[in-house]
Amino acid sequence: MRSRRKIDVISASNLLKGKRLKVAMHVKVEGSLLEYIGNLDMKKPAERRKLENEIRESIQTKCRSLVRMMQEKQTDPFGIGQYVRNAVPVGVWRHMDWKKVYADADISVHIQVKIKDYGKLQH
Amino acid sequence: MNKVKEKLNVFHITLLIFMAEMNITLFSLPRLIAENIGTNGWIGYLALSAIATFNIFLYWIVYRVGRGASAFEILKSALPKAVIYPVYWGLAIFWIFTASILGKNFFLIFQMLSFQTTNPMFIFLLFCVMVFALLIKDIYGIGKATTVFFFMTIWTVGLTVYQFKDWEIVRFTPHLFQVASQGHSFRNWMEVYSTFIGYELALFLFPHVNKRSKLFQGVFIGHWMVTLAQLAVVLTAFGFFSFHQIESL
Repeated sequence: MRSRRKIDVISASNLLKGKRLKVAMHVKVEGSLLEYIGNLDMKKPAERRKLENEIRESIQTKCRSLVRMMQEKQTDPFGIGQYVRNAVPVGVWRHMDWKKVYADADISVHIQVKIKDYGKLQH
Repeated sequence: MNKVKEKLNVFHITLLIFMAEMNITLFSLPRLIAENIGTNGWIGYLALSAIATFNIFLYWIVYRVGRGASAFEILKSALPKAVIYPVYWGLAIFWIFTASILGKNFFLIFQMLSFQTTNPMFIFLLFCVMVFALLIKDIYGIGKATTVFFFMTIWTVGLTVYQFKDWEIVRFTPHLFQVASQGHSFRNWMEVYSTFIGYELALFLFPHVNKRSKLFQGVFIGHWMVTLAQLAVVLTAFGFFSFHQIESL
């Protein structure tokens, strides 16, 4: 299993105008299926896509609730602040009340799941 | 004993300059750069290295014009004795102080890492014995000792590779020379420049070289090697720590 995270600050210019901060988080999850006991047939690519979708949705819900929780607690473990700092002029960042901006931000999570291979054993 | 007048080789000159410049400031260099130059301070560091290169170039001109005469001879022929002796005293005291401060920093670090309960005076004594053992030899012997120390320490630069996993380019920020907590001033940039102290050794090597030793080729290469090694450390630190963490290193 391998995952990569990319953070895009979408509305740096809007933020300067006093609007809400908009951030998109892209998470790429890639891995091998070790065991599967569901009804989908992993040999068919279409059904594999279906399983990928299910995983995607489940991760997405979890991520969203995690992000919301972190925003409520006003803590930024994803390091979004670094990307915002790099997207705005130095003075703006220094005078920004980052905790408030962060708690108020619109953070969307986009997940991409890929099953690289599904093993040899079939039942 | 049959004394052969040995001349320094370009290889030994390179390592002498490298080891003279590679000093205790390496430990605090990332913090110095963060405090005095600010974000992306490594660019400023490179600029300072270029200035040092220019200084070495000036030494080179002195060497060429003096046709290899030693710095002492040049001074003696240019200035009256009454002026020279205070200058010598001043220089001698300055270098003694610099060496003492550098040495003190070294054994403070030694004490912190491995000899917490040892009396610092004892470490100081060991330090003095080492320095004395070096100084009773001629420059050629010092050069050989330096070569040994060089190979004992240079591999540590390779250890920076292990930090790459936690290294992120985003920590560099796209801002240039911002949020330097000490502010920009000539004095603060000089503080970073002080890390290059050591290349002035070249001035005293004139009598110990001949045409074949290619003195300044060695000095330039040694200086650039130090620049590269320290740059590797600085870049690693800037991508590994956040800016504020570096400030408290």
